[in-house]
Amino acid sequence: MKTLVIGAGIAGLSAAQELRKANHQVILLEARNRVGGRIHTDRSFAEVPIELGAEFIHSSRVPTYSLAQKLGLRTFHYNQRDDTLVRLPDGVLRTVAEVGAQAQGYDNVRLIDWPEAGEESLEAYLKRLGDRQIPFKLQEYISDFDHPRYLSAKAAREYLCDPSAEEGDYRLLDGYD
Amino acid sequence: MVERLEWGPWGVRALTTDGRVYPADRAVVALPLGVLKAGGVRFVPELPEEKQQAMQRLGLTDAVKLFFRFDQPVFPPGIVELYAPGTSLEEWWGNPLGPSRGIEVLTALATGERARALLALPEERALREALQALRQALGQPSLTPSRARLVHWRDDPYTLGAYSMARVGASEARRVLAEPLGNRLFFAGEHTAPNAWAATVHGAYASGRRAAQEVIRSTYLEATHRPWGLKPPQEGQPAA
Repeated sequence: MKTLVIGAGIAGLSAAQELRKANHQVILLEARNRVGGRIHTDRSFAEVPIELGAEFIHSSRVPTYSLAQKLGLRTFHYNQRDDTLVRLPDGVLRTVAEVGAQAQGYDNVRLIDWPEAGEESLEAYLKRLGDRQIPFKLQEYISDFDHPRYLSAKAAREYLCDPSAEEGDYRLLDGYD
Repeated sequence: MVERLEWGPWGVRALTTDGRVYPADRAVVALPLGVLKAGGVRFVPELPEEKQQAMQRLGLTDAVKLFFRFDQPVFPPGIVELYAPGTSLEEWWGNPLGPSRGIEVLTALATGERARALLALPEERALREALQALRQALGQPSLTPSRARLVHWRDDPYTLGAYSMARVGASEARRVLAEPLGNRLFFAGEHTAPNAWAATVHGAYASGRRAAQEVIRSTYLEATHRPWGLKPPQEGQPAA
């Protein structure tokens, strides 16, 4: 059986790898002169690598974490509790853990029982939830995409209910490449 | 670059801009959502209406990354991330290897309105404004980097966007985009991952493995000539 895989980003590469394991003939097509797609490590900017595209491994509960472990790659854990500063409205800097000690649930998405969401905006959903401090991980989700008025509440809730929302992030210290 | 992908009961055929033709039994389409949305590949026959609609409904995040290199550590010891909600640049993080080498490399991520505003500026000015935001957030008005760089994926012809975004009304779009077609086309990419994992490397990685498993199962079913061999596998049927 011959299968074309179009695009050699991580999705195409993992598809090709899996197909080869099953003894399929694979032709992997890539338009660029490199593989990796939106994963692109740069080593010219500084003494340490920077990631021009994707950067983090979002928690230890995802397959790229296990993959990094299996390959023996060095990772660094951003615990997003006492290693992360939050700038409060008055300009004071506090760690997520310190803010969490005051605003219950800020550092733990499981302290809120996320109600079902309809086809509504995240903004409307949060309004229904009332005037509470939203957890750091949800703030981060919003900052990663766009204003809550544009975002699907249903999709955001699916993220919040996933184990990967319960931890901080990891990065590959030596770069994705 | 693949510009045309023909598919049917007979198999698939990819035609590239440099005039090459690649025939095969099946294809895994692992192209970025931005390229698909822009019609960068012409499917023949066209993708069904449901998929095209899902493709249009699912958004692309406007995202900009800004990098700064400083000749000395900037964050307080033990701090690797700074979150400044409500300011012009909310997310900042450091490379933990920096301070051990006596430097600091900080990265900021801007999305949405802030990203669009930064992208409308000349690069140098965008970097200056970002630096100003960092100075303000940290309360260090004289902070000055030795290098700065701005990166985004919107205009890269092989990407045409940063990553997918579940806009209001698009909570099912990724699931629709992930569905195989006629046992010939299979779909992978961060935008085909479940909402909880989409827009990430792990989502993309898992989607590639999922698509490969679908290909393997479909060839097995076809080879064994079962009555459902030419149809997508139904729930409750034994997996190959």
